Amino acid sequence: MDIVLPDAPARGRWTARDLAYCGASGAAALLLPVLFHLVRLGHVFMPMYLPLVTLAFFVPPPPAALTAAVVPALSAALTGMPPLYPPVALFMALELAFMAALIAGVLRLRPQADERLVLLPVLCCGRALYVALVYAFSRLIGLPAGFMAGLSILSGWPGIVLMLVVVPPVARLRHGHRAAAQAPERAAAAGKAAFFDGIADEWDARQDLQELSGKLARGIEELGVRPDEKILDVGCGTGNLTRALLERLSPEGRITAVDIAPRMIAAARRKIRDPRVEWRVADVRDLAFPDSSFDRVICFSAWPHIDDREAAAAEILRVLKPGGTLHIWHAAARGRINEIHAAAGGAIGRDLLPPAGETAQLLARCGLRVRAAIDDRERYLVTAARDGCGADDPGGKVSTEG
Amino acid sequence: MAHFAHDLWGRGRGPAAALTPQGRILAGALLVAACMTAPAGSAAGTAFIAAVTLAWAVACGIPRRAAGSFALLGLAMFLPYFLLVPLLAMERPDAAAQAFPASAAGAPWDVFLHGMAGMFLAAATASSLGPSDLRRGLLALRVPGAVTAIVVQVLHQTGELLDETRRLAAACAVRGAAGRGKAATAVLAALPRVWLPRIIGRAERVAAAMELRGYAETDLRVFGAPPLGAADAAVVIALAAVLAIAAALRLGWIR
Repeated sequence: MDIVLPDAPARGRWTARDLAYCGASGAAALLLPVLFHLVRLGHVFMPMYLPLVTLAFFVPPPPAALTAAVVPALSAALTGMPPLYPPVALFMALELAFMAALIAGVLRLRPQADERLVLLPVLCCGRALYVALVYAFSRLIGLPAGFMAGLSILSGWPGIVLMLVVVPPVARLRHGHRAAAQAPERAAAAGKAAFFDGIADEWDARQDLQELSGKLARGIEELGVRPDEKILDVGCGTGNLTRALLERLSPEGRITAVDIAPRMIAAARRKIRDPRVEWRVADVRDLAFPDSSFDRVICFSAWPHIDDREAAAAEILRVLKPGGTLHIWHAAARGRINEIHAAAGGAIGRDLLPPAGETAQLLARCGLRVRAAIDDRERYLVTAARDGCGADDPGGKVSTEG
Repeated sequence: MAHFAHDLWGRGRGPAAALTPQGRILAGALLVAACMTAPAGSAAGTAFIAAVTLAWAVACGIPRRAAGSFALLGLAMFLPYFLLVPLLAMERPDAAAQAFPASAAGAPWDVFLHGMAGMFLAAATASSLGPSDLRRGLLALRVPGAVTAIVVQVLHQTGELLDETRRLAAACAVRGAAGRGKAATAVLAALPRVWLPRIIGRAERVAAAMELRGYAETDLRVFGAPPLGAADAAVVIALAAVLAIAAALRLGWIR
């Protein structure tokens, strides 16, 4: 569920869960130092950092960084610590926001990353930033800058060690909580899988395969698929796009075709027997492939059926090679597709295809570079690339109609 | 500012309470800016900072207990800077022979005075704001909605966690972990491991409750604040003049 913030549209929406986590962690960051001061070690172990660094493992970068920036100032006003002058509160806010944004950002790209491997460099970078700020400010007001910076380095290490010990086990809880948070979506996905399983055997009979095959061949030509590419076909259904792609690929090319419905995969397997294709039953939000596995991901006629599209885009971004390309493609007008889904009802009755501009914005939010967004009477195509060398589609066109 | 601060320090009941919440926040921010701008190295600057801080603390009616605690905390935090005087004197041998502002004690004094002023001004402002005042004030000041939402959530949940924190603190004290030594270290090691997972569990419960109660449909703008009144405007203009005086002191136009 989304929270409506007074000026939310520019920034996107935060979920109630994000806000609850920010509130709880911020509260802990205000109170934990009080407990540490009981044992008179509050200033050594940087207790305020613990909840705010932990928070970055549970929420996206903007709320994590904003909470980390706000809490030191709030604490300064309420408890007098950290002081407003010298501007320790400001330095801590900058350091914490920097670390939180970095951790949450890294986890968006690599959700399964080892917590310690993420933490150690980030904590060191954060401390380096803090020390640099202390050094610069000490010079400005005439305090011994080298001494103050050295003191900051020495006083930071116990806190960093404590965070390395305490935060990773707590951060691992996010896997369990994420699964719980996604439970309703997984139930919806299971409903859709059952729906498509139910129509798998008659799927091809419902379509004009000759016309579709012509559209696919022309589309693939236009996408610029190279013969030796490694392609992920998301929502492959009975394998119509897969077959068209195989005609384009050389013996070195490979296709991995995934679908959430096992009977669709079974039908495709019966239809196409080619060693260049690997068939898998999989949810696009949870692909069991290593990072940077594919040159190209094509999501043909499947995007409206994905409930959590941000998670899907993040997962696609993960498995795309740097410079790799994603196409969200339909060979018909958006309005027509939405009419068909509404008429079908049941598990897919509310699976509406959003305007191409909206999809492009979502992909950009997830870190993909949008190259084209076409939404006209003939087709729907949003093309985006992962940053890095090798992008071969300089595009950048946006066209919408109707 | 919130139940949390008022539980700790008590609530200020000075004449500043007559101002709107946004007026108090704005006044506090202007005064902090003025005190940080004024130089501590001159008699006029020192007098200015001390007078402004004292006046605002009285205006907000900061409770004596809070004032005493903040004074002790300030002394503990800022007096150690004077230990740097020998180091500064070694770094700048010429400074030892000079008069106060240019001497080795100049920089520690600057930190001490500005640090104490910042702490008291923030605490006084906080003590004058009731539980809902801050939210209304921030919204009226057009602070970005995301910041307001986070501040409101943090303060609300801090209030909720305060009792639990007190129980934990009492348990630590009963087990002899309120000082240094083995027991204290054991508690220190165990505390975050016990505490943080509880916080995460709590966040999940709060999120579920927020969704259940339709918090998502709540637009924060419904918590409106009254517009700035004539008294607020007069105070803000006066404090802008105070800021201008601080700038003049800094630039040496007033000695």
